Amino acid sequence: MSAPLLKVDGLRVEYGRTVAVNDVSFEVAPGEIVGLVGESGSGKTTIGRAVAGFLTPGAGSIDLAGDRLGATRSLAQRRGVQMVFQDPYLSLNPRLSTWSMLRELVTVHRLAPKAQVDDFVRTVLGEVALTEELARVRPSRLSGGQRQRAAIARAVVLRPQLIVADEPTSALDVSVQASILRLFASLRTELGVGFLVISHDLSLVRFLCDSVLVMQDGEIVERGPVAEVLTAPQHPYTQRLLKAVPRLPSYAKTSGNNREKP
Amino acid sequence: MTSTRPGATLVAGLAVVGTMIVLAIAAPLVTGHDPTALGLTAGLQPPSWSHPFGTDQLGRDVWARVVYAGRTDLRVGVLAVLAPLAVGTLLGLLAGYFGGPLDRVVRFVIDTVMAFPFYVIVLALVAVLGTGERSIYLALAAVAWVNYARVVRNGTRGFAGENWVAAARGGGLSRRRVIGRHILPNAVPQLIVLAVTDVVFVILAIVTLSYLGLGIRPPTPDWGTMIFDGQAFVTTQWWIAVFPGLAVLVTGIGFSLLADGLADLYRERD
Repeated sequence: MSAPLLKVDGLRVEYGRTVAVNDVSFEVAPGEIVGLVGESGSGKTTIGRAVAGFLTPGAGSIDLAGDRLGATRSLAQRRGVQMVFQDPYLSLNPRLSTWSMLRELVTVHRLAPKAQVDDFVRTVLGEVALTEELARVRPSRLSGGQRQRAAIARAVVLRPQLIVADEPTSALDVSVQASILRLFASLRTELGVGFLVISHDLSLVRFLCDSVLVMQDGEIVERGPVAEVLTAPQHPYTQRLLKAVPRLPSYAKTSGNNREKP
Repeated sequence: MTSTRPGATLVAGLAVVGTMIVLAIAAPLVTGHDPTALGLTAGLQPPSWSHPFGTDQLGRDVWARVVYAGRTDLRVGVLAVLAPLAVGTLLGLLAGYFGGPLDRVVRFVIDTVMAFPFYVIVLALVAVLGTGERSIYLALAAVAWVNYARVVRNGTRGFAGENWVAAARGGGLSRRRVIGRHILPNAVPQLIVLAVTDVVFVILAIVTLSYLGLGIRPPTPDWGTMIFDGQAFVTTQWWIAVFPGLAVLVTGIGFSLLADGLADLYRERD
């Protein structure tokens, strides 16, 4: 088995006296998409933010490709893990076009020679299927899906090894959700990026992820390949979570219930 | 009900302020009189062709003094806003972004300064520092920065918690870059509106200080001093006080329209 891309070991995060995440360990292989599911408040986002470096863990370690990620990260370490946020309306600077945002990142990280910065940005825009015209306007003029593509471009431009995606489609229309999920799948295939996808949407996890971690009260209670965990859950919490997924009633039942009495 | 066409306020503000600035700059061209030249035999003359705004008790041409005073008051008004704008913006950005002890100290100083009436502190400082332009700049800088600091601090505190700031930091951008290139531009529209509004306030403060004998030193023409000089004659030779008073009023309205117009413009663009 290849060395893990991300190795989280004994992670503990506290907010004051509240323990949000307790002794969590897991791995993500290169190019793997791992889903992190659980109810609100189970600690999913906290893990994502700790891996992305937005908060400092109380205990435990986070390694990316064998490199220990500490409280302060080097430029290269920051580049290695990027995050895509839930709400694309709040995750883009209102006064900065996608074009300027990407150019700045390419320049700061010296990802391309000066003369080729624009070409590099165009390549990234192509990867996320965003036109240059749309990239040059302010985020307020973009639709939700276009904004999320811009946010994904911001992550992808740094050529990260891992992308943490926190509920990446929950703020989008259903029609747009599918295109964003296909984009993730293609980025994995084309760029070999690993994903940690935080979601409470089990159908999204079933569609996109290779394996899944189920969280309850800050701890992982079940893990394994998606096909196994979501079809034959072992832990009672996972079973409850699956049962809680709303299903459309069958046509016969619906029509029966709604049938007018003579 | 018909609404005012967007931009009309801005155009009106620009027209009024622009006219006042052009008159001030072109003062030697719009009047043939020296604003400080005494004409002891021509004192207290009512408005006429040769003296459109009349003359004061020392025979000085009031129109010449009004336009030359515009040079002083507009210059001091604009310059006196720049230092508080810079200081307040910087402190507001740092306090809002970093929070913690720095934020607590900045907020404490803001609250303390704001607890005193503006004129009480300014008068006390000018009384200590002595009269003149330099004292006006120092006194206003010491007091007026709190408005900018408060607005910028509150805005920055909100922005600092937004995901786009987290993403910028997570993308490896330095704190200085995030504050200067990402957060500051989001505060700029509000700052411009506040600064333009403040010019009116500062001009009124200069006029008030000069009226009280603590502002611009004679014989430099200044609207406040002119109003003070004319108040003894206001019932008989009204033109001495009324014209500089109107100049203050028109300038104030002009800058207020400009601030409103800019605020509308930014709201529309966003």
